[in-house]
Amino acid sequence: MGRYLFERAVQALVVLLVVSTITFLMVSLAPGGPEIMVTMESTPEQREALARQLGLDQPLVVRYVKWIASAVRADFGRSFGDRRKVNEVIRERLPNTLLLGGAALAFSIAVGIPAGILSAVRRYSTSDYVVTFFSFIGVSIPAFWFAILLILVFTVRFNLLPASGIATPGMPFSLADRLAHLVLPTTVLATATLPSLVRFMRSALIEEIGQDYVRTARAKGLPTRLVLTRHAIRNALIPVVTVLGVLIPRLVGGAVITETIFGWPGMGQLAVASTIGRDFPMVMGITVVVAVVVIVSNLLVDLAYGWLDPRITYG
Amino acid sequence: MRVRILALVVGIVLVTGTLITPARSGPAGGGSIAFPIVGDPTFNPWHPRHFVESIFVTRVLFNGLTKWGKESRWVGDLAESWEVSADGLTWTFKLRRGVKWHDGRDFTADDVKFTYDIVLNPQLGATGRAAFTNIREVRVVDPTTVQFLLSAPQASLVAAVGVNAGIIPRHAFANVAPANYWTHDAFNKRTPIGTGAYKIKEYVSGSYVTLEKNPAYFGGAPSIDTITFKVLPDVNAQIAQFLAGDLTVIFIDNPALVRAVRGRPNVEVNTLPQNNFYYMAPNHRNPLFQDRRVRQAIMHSWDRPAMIKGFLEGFATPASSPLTPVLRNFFNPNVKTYEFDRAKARQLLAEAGWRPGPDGILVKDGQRFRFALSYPTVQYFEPLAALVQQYLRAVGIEATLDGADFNTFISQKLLPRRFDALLGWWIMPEDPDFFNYAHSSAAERGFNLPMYSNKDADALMEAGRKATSLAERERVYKRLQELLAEDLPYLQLWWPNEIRAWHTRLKGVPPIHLRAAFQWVNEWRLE
Repeated sequence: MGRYLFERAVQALVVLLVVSTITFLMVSLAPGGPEIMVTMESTPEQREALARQLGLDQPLVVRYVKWIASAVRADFGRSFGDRRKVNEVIRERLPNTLLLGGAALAFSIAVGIPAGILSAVRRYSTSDYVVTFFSFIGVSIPAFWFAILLILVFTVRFNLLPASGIATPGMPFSLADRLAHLVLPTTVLATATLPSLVRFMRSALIEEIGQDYVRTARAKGLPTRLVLTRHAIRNALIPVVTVLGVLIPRLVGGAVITETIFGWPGMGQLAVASTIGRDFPMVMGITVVVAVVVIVSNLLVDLAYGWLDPRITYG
Repeated sequence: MRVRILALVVGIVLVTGTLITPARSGPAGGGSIAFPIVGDPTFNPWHPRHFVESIFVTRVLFNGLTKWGKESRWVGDLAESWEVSADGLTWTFKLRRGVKWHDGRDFTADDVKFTYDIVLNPQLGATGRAAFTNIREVRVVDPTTVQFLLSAPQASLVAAVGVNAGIIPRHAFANVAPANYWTHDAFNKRTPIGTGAYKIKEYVSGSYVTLEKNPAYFGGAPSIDTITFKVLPDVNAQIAQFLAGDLTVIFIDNPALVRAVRGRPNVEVNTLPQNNFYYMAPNHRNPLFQDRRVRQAIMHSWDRPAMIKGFLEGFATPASSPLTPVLRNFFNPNVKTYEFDRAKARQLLAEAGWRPGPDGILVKDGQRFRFALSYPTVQYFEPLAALVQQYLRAVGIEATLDGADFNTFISQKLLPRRFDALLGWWIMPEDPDFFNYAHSSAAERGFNLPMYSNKDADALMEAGRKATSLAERERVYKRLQELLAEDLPYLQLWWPNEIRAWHTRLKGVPPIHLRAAFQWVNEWRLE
C-alpha cells in the first residue's frame, strides 16, 4: 500500500510538471497580454514600465525557470492584475469552489444512484421512462441556459431564492442563508454529473442483474431486496465509482460557467476573469491547484475500489 | 411510493427556500442600496488595475480636485477655486479647508502633491496617466494651495483632474517605497482611506463590497446608510437581481434588454446623452482611405438611423462629429452632415477614380477596393461589423471581417496600429479637447488610432488648449467640428445614450450620467 501511494505520488508530480509547462507555454504564447498593459488608453512608455514591473521584459525561458523555482516552494507569485499574492486569493476562493463542487457531487450521488437503481430494477416501467427522460434532458440542456431559466423562475418570478453570491451582504453568517445561496448553483452544476451517473448506474445494474450469481441468489429464495443490496448493487457500483473519477474534472469545468453566472466567488469565476485578463501567475496557480484536486480525487476513487471489492488490492 | 418521496423532497426544498429567503424591506430615510459591478474592485484610483469595475466604488470613496456638476459643467470638489496664468502654464488650485480623511486626519496640499507625484512617476505606469503628460511639476504653496506647472497649455486640465483622479492620502503610504505602491494591499485591496461620502465597511473578494456613510463628509452628510457593490459579471444575473429587488440601480448596456425591465411596477427606465462616440477608424496611412471623397462616400453608404433602430432600439443619435451635444456651448450643430444616399456615395467614389469591376466591387488602377475590418468581439460589434460590411458591399466596397477578443484586438491591432479599419468607441471627459484623439503628434503614441494628420486640425486643437477665455475656446472648437465633419478623421457612427434603470423609491439622483451622479451620492435618498 505504501509503495503504491509512493508510485502514485511520483506519477502525480510528473503530471503536474507536464500540465504546468504546457499551460505556461499556452498562456505565454497566446495573443494579447496582461490587461493592465493592454488598454485602449495606455501609452507606450506606460506599457514598458508595467512590463518591467511584471518581469515581462525577460525572455520566456527565464520567466519559466523563475516560475518553477518559486512554484516548488508553493509560491505562485503575485497577480498581474490587482497584484495580490496568488496564494492568498486562491486560499479565499478554493473553499467556495470545494463547497459548491462537493454539494453538487453529493446531490448527484444522493439522487443519481437511487434513480439509476430504480430505473434498472423497474426496467421499461413508467418510472424508468420518467428517469430516462429527465436524465436525457439533463445531458442535453446547456448549463448557462438552465441557470438563467432557474433564476427567472425562482428569483424573478417567485422571489424564493437568491440568484447570486454566496451570502446576503451585511448579514452575519447563517447556515440557512448559505444553503439558500447554494440551491440554484448546485442544481445547475449537478446537471454536469447527475444524468451520466444515472445512466451508468442503470446500465451497470442491469448488467449485474443478468449475471448467474444473481440468478443463483434468487433461486435459493433470497428476497429481491437482499439480492439487490447484498450482491448486485455492490458489484454494479464498481464501474460507477470509475465514472465518478471522470465526472469530478467535469464538475471543475462546469464550475467555470456556473460560478460566472451565479456570481459565486470561487475558482471558476476567478479562472474566467484571469484568463480574459491574461493574468498569467493567477492562471498558473489555478491550473496547478485544480490539477492537484483532480489527481487527489482520482486517487481516492482508486482507493475506493479496494473497499468495494476486496479482491482489488494495492500492494 | 418513490415518486411521492421525490415530490416530498422537492416540496421541502421549495418550502425551506421560502422560509429562509431574507426579508427585503426599505425603511424611509437611511436604508441601503445595491449596484452591480462586473469584477473585483481595486480601491486605489491610480492602480494599473483600476478599471470600469472599480470606478464607481472609488468615485464614492475619494474626491478629485473637480467633478462634473449637476448643471453640466465642471465644479470644484476638493478644490474650492482655481485660476490659470495668462500663458496657460501655471494652474493654482485653492483647496477646501477642514476636509478630513476617513481616519480623521487632515487633508492638505501635501496629499495632492503626493497623488500627482505617483501619476507623474514614469516608472509606476499609473492608470489614467496619459491625461497628465503636460504636467511638469506639482508644487505645494501652502497647506491649502497647490500649483500645477505645465510644459504646454492644456485648458482641459479642469476636466482631467476631475475624472477618476481621486486624491489619496500620503500618510497611508508613509512606510511604503514607490516601487511597492501597487502591491500595498492594505490600502489598494482592503482598507482604502478617502475623503468621500462613504467609507469602506466590508469587502468579500469576488462577492461584494459594502460602504457606509461618512457623516463628516464635507459635501453634506449622506442620507442612505450603506451602498453595496455586488460583483456580478453576468448581465442576465444583474437584470434578474434588479427585478427581484436585490439591486437598486443598474446600467443597461445592451438596449435589447430594456424590454426586460420596462413597464415593471416601481421601476423607472431613463436615458440621457453621454459624451461617448462610436466610429469606424480608417487607417489614414492606407492609400485606400487617403482620398477624402472616399471617406465621405462611406459616410453616405450607411443608413445610420436604421442601424440605431435595429441595434440600439433607438437609444443613440447619429454623430455629426466626434464632439457631442453634451458639451453644450462648445457643440456646433451646423456642420456637414451625411444622409444615407448610395447614389451620392457611388458618385463620390467615381470622382475618386473607382469604377465597378466585373463582380461589382470597385477597381482603380487594377486594385480592388478590399480591406479588413477589425473589431473586438464585445458588445454588439460582431453583428455591427457584418452590417457595415453589407452596407459597404452595396456601394462596391469589399470588407472582410476580422474580429478578435478584446485583449487580442487591442494588443495586436490597436496598439501596434496594424489594421486597415477598425470599429471602436471613445468615452471622453466632458471637454471638447480632442487633441489626444486626432492630433498628428498622438498618431503613434497617443490615441489617434486612425493616424490622422492635418495641419489645420492640429493648429485648431493646439489653439483650443491654449485658449484662456471661454469665448475663444468655443470659437475654436466650433471651427474644429466643421473641419472634422468635412475631413472625417473618424467615420462617425453615433453618440449612444446611457440607459439606466432604478427602483422608483430611489430619489435625488441628478440628471447627469451615472458615473458622475455617483459623485453626488450624498444627495441620493430612499423613500
